[in-house]
Amino acid sequence: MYKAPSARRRKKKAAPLNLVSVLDMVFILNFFLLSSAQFIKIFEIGSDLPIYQLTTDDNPKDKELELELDIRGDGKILVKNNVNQGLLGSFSYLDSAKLDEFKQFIKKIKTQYEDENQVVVKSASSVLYQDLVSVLDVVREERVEGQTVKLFNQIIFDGK
Amino acid sequence: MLKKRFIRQRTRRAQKETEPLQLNSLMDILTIMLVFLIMNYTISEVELSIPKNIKIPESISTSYVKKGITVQMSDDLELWVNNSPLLQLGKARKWTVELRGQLEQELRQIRKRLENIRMRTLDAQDQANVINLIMDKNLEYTHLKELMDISSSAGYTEFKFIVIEP
Repeated sequence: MYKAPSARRRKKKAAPLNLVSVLDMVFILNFFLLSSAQFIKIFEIGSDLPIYQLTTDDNPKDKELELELDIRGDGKILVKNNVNQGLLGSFSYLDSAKLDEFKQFIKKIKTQYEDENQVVVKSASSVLYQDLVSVLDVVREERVEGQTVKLFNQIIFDGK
Repeated sequence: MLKKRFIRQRTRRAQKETEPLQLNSLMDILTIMLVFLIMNYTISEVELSIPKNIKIPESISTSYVKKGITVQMSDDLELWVNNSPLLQLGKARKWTVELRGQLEQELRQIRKRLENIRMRTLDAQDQANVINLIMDKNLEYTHLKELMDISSSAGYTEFKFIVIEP
C-alpha cells in the first residue's frame, strides 16, 4: 500500500531572522548618541527682568502684593509685602525642614494672589550661591506629580 | 579504501553550510544601550564647558540653557568669559576698579560683535543681551551681584544661572 510521505520530513528549517541591517543601524545610532551625550543635565534659572528694575506699574495703588524676599546672612529669610511695608513671615533657609515651611507659606500666598508672579530678591553679601539657588527654587516653581507649577517665577534682584 | 572514504567525507563536511553568526546577544546589548542613551539625550541647543574647579549649584529647574555669553567664576575667583580666562581676583577677594573695567570692556566688545552679526544675519537669535552665569556654588552673593552689576553696565539685561539637577 502506498503511503504518502510525511509532511514532517518535508518541513524546511525556518531561516534565522536576518538582523544584520538592524544591527548596523543600531550600532551607528549608538555611536551618534554616545558622541553627543551629555551625562550631566544642565539647566538654567532665568532672571528675565533687568537687575535694579522695580515694579513700575501705571497704577501701583491697585496692587495688593509686591513680594520681597530679604535673604539675610544669619540664615533667615524675611518675606515682606512692599505695598504696605508689612512683614509677612520669617523663615530659616539653612534647615531643609524650615525651607519646607517656607515653601508652604509661599504656596499659600500664591493661592491668595494667583495673578502675581513677580518677586524682588534682596540678599546679604555673605549668602552662598547654593543657598540663594535653593531659596529661588522654592519661590519659582513646584513639582506636582511630575508637572511644574509656576509660583513667583519672575525674579528681580534688588541691586541697592 | 579507507583513505578514499575519508577524503569523500571531508569534502561533504566542507560542503555543509556554515552556521550563521549568533548576533542576538549583541543586538540585546546595543538595544539596551540605545534606550539608555535616548533617555539621557538632552535637546539643549547649547553645549557648555564647565571648568573642573567649578562646582555648579543643584536646582530643580528644568529649563534648558539658551544661547548667550558665558561668564564662569571658580571658587578661587578665577574668571572666564566665553571659555577664555580673563582675570583673577587677588588675595583680598575684592573687585577693584581696574578689574571691573577690564570685565566691562570685554563684555561690551562681545556685545558689539554679536550685535553686528545679528544686524547682518536674517533670523539670527538675539543672544546679545543674555549672560549665562556659571559660578561655583560656594561663592558668596557679593560676586554674583558684582557680575550682574558689571554686565548690566555693559548693556546685558538677562541673566541665566546655570545649575545641574540634584
